[in-house]
Amino acid sequence: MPNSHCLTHLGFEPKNDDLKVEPNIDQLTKDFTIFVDTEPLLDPSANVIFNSMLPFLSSNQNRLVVSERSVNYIQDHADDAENRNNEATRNAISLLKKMDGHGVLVVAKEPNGPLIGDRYCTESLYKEKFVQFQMAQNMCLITQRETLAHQILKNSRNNAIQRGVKRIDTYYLSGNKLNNWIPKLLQRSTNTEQRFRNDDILGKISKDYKIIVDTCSLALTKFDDDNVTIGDSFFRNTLLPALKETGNRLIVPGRVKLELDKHVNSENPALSSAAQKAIDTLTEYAKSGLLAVGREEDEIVGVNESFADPVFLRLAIRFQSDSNICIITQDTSLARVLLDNRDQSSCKEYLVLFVTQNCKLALWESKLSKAPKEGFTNSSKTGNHSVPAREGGSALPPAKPDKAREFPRPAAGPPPTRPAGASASTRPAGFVQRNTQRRGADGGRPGRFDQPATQGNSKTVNNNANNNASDNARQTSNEPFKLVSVVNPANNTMLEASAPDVGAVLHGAKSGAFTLTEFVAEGGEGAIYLTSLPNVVCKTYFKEQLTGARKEKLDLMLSRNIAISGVCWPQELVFDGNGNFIGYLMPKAEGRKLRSVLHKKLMANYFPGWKRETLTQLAITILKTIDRLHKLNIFIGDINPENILVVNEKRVFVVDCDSFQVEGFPCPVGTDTFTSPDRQGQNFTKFLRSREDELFAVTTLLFMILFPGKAPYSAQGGSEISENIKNRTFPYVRDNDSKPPDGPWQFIWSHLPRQLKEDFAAVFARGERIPIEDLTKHLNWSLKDIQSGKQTNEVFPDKPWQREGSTVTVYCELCPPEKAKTEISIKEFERLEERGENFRCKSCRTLKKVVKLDTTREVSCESQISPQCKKVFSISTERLDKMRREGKGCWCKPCLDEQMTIWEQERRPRRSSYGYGNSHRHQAKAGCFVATATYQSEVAPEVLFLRKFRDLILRKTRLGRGFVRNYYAYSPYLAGVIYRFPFLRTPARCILNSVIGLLKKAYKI
Amino acid sequence: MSYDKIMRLRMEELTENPSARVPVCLALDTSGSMMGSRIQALRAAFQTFIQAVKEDELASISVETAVVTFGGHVKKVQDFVGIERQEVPVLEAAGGTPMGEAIHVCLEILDQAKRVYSEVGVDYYQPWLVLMTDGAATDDISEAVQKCHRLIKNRKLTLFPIVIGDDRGGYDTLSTISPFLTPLRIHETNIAQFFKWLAKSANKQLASNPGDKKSVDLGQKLFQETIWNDVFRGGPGTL
Repeated sequence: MPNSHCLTHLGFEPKNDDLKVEPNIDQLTKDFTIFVDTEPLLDPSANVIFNSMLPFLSSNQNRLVVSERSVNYIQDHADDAENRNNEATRNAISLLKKMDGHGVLVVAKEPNGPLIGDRYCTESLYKEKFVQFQMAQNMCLITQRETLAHQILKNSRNNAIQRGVKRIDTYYLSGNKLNNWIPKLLQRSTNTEQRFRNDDILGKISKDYKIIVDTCSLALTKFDDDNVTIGDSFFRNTLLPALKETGNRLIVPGRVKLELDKHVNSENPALSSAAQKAIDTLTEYAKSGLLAVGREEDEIVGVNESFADPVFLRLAIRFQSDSNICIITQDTSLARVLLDNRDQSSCKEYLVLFVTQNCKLALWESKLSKAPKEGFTNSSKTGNHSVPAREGGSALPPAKPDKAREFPRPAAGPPPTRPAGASASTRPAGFVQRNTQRRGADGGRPGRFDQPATQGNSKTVNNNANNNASDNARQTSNEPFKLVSVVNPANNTMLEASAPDVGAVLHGAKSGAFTLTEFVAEGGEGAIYLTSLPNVVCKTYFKEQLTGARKEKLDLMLSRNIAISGVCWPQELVFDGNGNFIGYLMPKAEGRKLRSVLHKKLMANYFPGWKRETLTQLAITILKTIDRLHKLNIFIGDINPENILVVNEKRVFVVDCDSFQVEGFPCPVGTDTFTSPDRQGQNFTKFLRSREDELFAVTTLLFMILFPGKAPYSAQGGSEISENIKNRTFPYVRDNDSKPPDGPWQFIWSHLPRQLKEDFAAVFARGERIPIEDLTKHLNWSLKDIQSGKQTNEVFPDKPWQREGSTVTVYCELCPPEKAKTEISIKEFERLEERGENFRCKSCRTLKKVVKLDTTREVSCESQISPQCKKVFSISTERLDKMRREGKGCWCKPCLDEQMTIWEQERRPRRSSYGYGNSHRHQAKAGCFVATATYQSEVAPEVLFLRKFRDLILRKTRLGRGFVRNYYAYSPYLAGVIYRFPFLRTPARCILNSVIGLLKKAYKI
Repeated sequence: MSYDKIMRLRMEELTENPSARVPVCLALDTSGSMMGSRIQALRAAFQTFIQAVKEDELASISVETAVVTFGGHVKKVQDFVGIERQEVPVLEAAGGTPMGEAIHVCLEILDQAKRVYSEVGVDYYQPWLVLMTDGAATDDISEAVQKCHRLIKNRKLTLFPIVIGDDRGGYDTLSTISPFLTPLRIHETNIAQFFKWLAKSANKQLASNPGDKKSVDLGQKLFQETIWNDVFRGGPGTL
């Protein structure tokens, strides 16, 4: 039946009238408003046809409508000497003039002033007009463009009768007469289908078609099983040999390549592996020289690099009149669009194909015509087509009942040794005991567990999936774990087994026997080995770690089918040769520890070229992974840069999953840095972390990614990590007086977007918690800001954020001149001016500080006048060493001042009794009065010598000090005498000279 | 290297490395009795230690070391530096064993290190002091003992007392200084093993630690529990 057959392809149901190829011109000119597009006027047969229409038009008092745009085009191109269709345009002009002369032409002007869009473009114009007037009058359009005709038909014909739409027709010129488009459209589609129905499509396209392939076909998986890839086997085993024969190349748009790369990192393991296989296949093509990868810049311009749809459309439009094209895609909507754009007037073939579940190629036309609506869930004759949703890549794989069959219960392996009393259930006694415990803890929700779980009642079984000892309930599922508030009683039963070594043969519960091939790493609990199984590693516990609780926890973890990409969730238990539990298997992780990102030098070493954008993306990736775990009520607990491996910013692995907190099993380890203030110093084995605890750790981790490696509570004047956290002084906010650490950290903070600053302040200063969704959202905003240049892309900015135009150029007074130039805010500059200081850059200030720290020591006051003082003050190392050598105590300034006043009070009365009241300090300044009078200068070398002699020698001894005191009491009189009688100077000089000579010899000064 | 240059390097080390530091002060006996094979072994062991710390990524960015020797007089051979810049010190054996003074100097530079960390804004763990001797102190240690006990009991310090050889006096001296840990006797050929253990446990302290143990306890616990397994399979007392 052509009707139903063509329904979807044409987009409407053709009526009997429509199948007539030639219209009745009389009727047409009588009942229809006839629009004429540009091309028919330029057609060689235009003269014949329109001239033949003239009499009918005149008699029916109808007119041809030609758009102003068409006239524009024709007029503009008539004068163009280079126009190859010069003749045709001139012809058209004369035709138009002739019709105008007969009064059968209307040039439709657009009333609203200047033309919208292109001066010549008529396509949208007609579409719009036809929609606008479709209820008012019968219309027909004469056009040579298939797509335009098709679309106009579709727009109006769809349920035309019910909607009261008048008749709309389209015609084209061919063979000196008007032809209806509909039969032609029908014929086209059947043609293609007929020709290719039983034909060897493969043989045809491999010869002389441009074969363009889409991601979803390359990575096509089996309808009912994600793990069997069809795309892989078709392209590798079917198409590749065919192309090898013909030498034709497979065209893969650059964006498809990108999309595959993206899928490799997808959370969905099936998708990821399929994409990987596809890439491998493409590599095969490349090896044989049969691959052409489109270049990104030649394709579609735009941000979303992995969205490939427009590329196909563009390639199709571009090449369809040039060569035979075949596009292979599984995407229904893309196929529809591609088919809609097929230009039927071109003589080249244009095929849109898909890969069937039987590894064959098939035409989309036939499939679309069979499936009445968008989602063709009904299986057709061939039955099992599947089209993986394009956007399915980012979503979690749906829970599939088949999966449960694939992952049978862990106990299916060699039977583990079990405590007695668990013979009926596969669960050790401890497990049962724990359930009882939980029942008590969940007492607030009565009824939930009281209901007896029956196997027939699937809902109940589901609810109690983990509590019910029946085997049914142990089936793997994706149901979240329960939130529990009480720690399971520790089951410290030691299990019988001893840690194996490389080369040992162990048994996986599902995989069977395998060998430990290589030692990877060792931790506090056990060791990790590579195995003879692909992409799986084995963790074996040390003998002293093999407790009953450990096995129970793993049993519980294995009760869920958790397939989150980047989480090395335990996959199955492992037993030794005697069937004793010894460890578990998990997916192999790769990458470097996050630690390598959180250190400037290591980052430069292992992740060169990382920018703030990359860091932000990494943070988003990690947060998303953690969020997926949280959705299942799994808490990592020991969030820690050692437990996260980074491959690149979009691919990370969370390892050490057996320490995660699930239900009543706590995460027994942790580090101070990631422990919330309330939990500091608590025993990690004795409490269950709350969501708040976990969010604190997550926010800390986020902080440490954005401030690579710096902990949020590090501050100047800080102390040990745990103390800093307990004190809750977050140094980046202003409401406390702690200062951020030296280095680039404060600059990073100042560049951070406001929203993230607020998040951090809320968590670290006010003790609130921000949900991961919000953090991720704010990170995404930040990412956009960085990409648009609003936020710096530097990981370590070297100056604070400043508003443009609000800065002053200054030079650091300490830096070498070539580095000194920098910019500071006007406010800061004014502050410096006010204080009359020169500018010093941050690193110079820090350097000064470090030098000062190095050259000073802190001592507590050892004053004897106030022994309780003990005030801590800093003193230069030099001075301290000197005082220590001399056996003097270090006194703080206030104590020293106090002592000085006491001394002075003691001294004053004595001095006044000698009638000479000079203070000690004055004395120190004053020289020898006699010598000054003798040499008539205070700075004569002899005077200076005597002064030195007094300070260095006389003052050191008790006798000397007595002499000095007495000397100062009497010498002014002597000096006065010498001033008065200048002749005394010469003998005095002689005496002093000889005394000085003697002293110099004696003391070698 | 000029003082300015050294200070600039130190500043960069302090500000650019965000990791929390474990300051480890090594007080090494270089008295006359260490002459010969012992001082040689000590030098070699020191090299192993640096190597072992460098090999572990986390330890290499967290451990900072200082070296004080006491042989005749106390000498601060090396103030705190990151392991990258730590070199094997020149060790010359001569003179007596002024352990009391050495401990004073060590505690002072540890204090100083903490002060620098705090002022600059670097997180740190409480410091470790490795005291390695082969004989009894030749000076007064009563004050040093008092100070050490106070710090260790307040969990502000972890002290690892090591006796090289079978000297009774050295063992007794260290026993008085260390309130909790009994001194470890090692033969000179085992010094390298001890240093390897030290590097490893520095790493363990940094990685996830069992919650009930404060970091200082952890160091001590490791010392007592694991050192016998790790260094000497034979058990305590082996020479």
